[in-house]
Amino acid sequence: MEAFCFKAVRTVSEAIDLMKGRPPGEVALMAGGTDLLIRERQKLVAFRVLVSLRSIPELSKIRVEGERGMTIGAAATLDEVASHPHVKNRYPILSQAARSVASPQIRHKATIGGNLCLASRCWFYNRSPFWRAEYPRCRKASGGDQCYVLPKSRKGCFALQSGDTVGPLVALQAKVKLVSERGERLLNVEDFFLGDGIEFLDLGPDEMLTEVILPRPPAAGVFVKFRPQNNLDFATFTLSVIPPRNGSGSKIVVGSVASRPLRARKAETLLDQREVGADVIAQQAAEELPLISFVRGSVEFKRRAIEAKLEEILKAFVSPPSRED
Amino acid sequence: MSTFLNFWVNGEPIELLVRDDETLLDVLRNRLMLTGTKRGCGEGQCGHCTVILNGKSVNSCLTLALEAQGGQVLTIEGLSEGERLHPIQQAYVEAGAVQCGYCAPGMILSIYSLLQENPCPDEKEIKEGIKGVMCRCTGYYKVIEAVKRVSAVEK
Repeated sequence: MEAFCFKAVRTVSEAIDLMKGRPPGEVALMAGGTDLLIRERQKLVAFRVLVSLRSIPELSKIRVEGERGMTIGAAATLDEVASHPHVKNRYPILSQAARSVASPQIRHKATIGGNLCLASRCWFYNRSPFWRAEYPRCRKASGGDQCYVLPKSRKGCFALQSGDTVGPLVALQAKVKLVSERGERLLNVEDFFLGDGIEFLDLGPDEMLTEVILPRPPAAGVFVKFRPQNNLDFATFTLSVIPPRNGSGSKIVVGSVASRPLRARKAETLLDQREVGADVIAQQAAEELPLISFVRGSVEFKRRAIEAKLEEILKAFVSPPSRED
Repeated sequence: MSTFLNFWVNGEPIELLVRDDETLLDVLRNRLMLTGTKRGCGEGQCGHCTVILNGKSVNSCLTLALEAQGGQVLTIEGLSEGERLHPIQQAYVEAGAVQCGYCAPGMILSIYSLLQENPCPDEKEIKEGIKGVMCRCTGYYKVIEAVKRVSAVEK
């Protein structure tokens, strides 16, 4: 028997109509499908209707709004985002992040909306059903009470936010447009993530992400994706840094280390002031982040690696403090 | 549910009834008997199922057949013209890039897609272009050599 029905819709309102009045989870929206179809096969999601969004022409459009910024349709592929001339020139950290995802094959299908909504991941959850069946049930995969990331924790889920474009979008202060039958709302990308591995997105079961809105581009920025090898794997962490403009507005965003992207706010203040060296700011950032131990790296490893990478990046923006000796 | 799928495969119009949850890989291999496209991991990591859909390389294991509705699919069977090999295949033979051969269809179509986007890639770009296909004989350098050969000929 077929697992689900496939519906290719032509408009956003058609997609929203299909979600109307159905129990949560019965209808799944699919853009590229490179995350969703794997989870369907791993029996982590079960839906009865699959709505394909790539057939909505409006949803893949990338528009430049003059000096004010740009809007990217949620179903624009990562390849389209990465190679768009305006993204490349004015928002290079977003272009680099999109380009750093997996392989060309994946980037030809995977979309920016899908990368934002990419299910949070952990080393236990993203395994085959046979493998998972051998262990007591985890909180996310099967509503049990076990957590294999933090075994001593009493509640919560620590699966990681893993979309590579999330960090740059937070640093760029992008917003997402969410549409449902009730209307539209705009949300900062930063607030789109709730911080828990299970309920990790502020996205209702009847809501659909339609657009990513980028404000005026910053003067500069750096993106780094750190992974053990230059392979297809998810990041151990990503760093997105925007230097201050007239003494404010710095951003230091660390992605893929928690259920939401993390900002090193104290370190950002130090970067705004530009009174201390890159090493001090990097150390501050590494210390203030609430990191957890994971299969992709222990807390100690990640602290040291983040500090070292960040120092390298910050050297370009902070002149070394004058020595007083 | 089943739905009629109308699409072009290697230039030929095809109409067939497919299950809604059937992947493009399964339709190509099991219905159209185009077994040149290989199944590896089934999770988009190994790239052995790579085909060209509407001009872009994709993992056919992560593509539902119905996503190809009205589209153009190119598989490894459609690359040569009869006995005449495609220049990428010819370069592959000359460089000795085939070992066990299992990754070759996906690898060759990845190169096809790479050269469409960038006809003269440098070594770094070649490595990025073939990143989506794993060769467990680990014969990557001969593959890179083949790409250099064919892009040099095209220059």
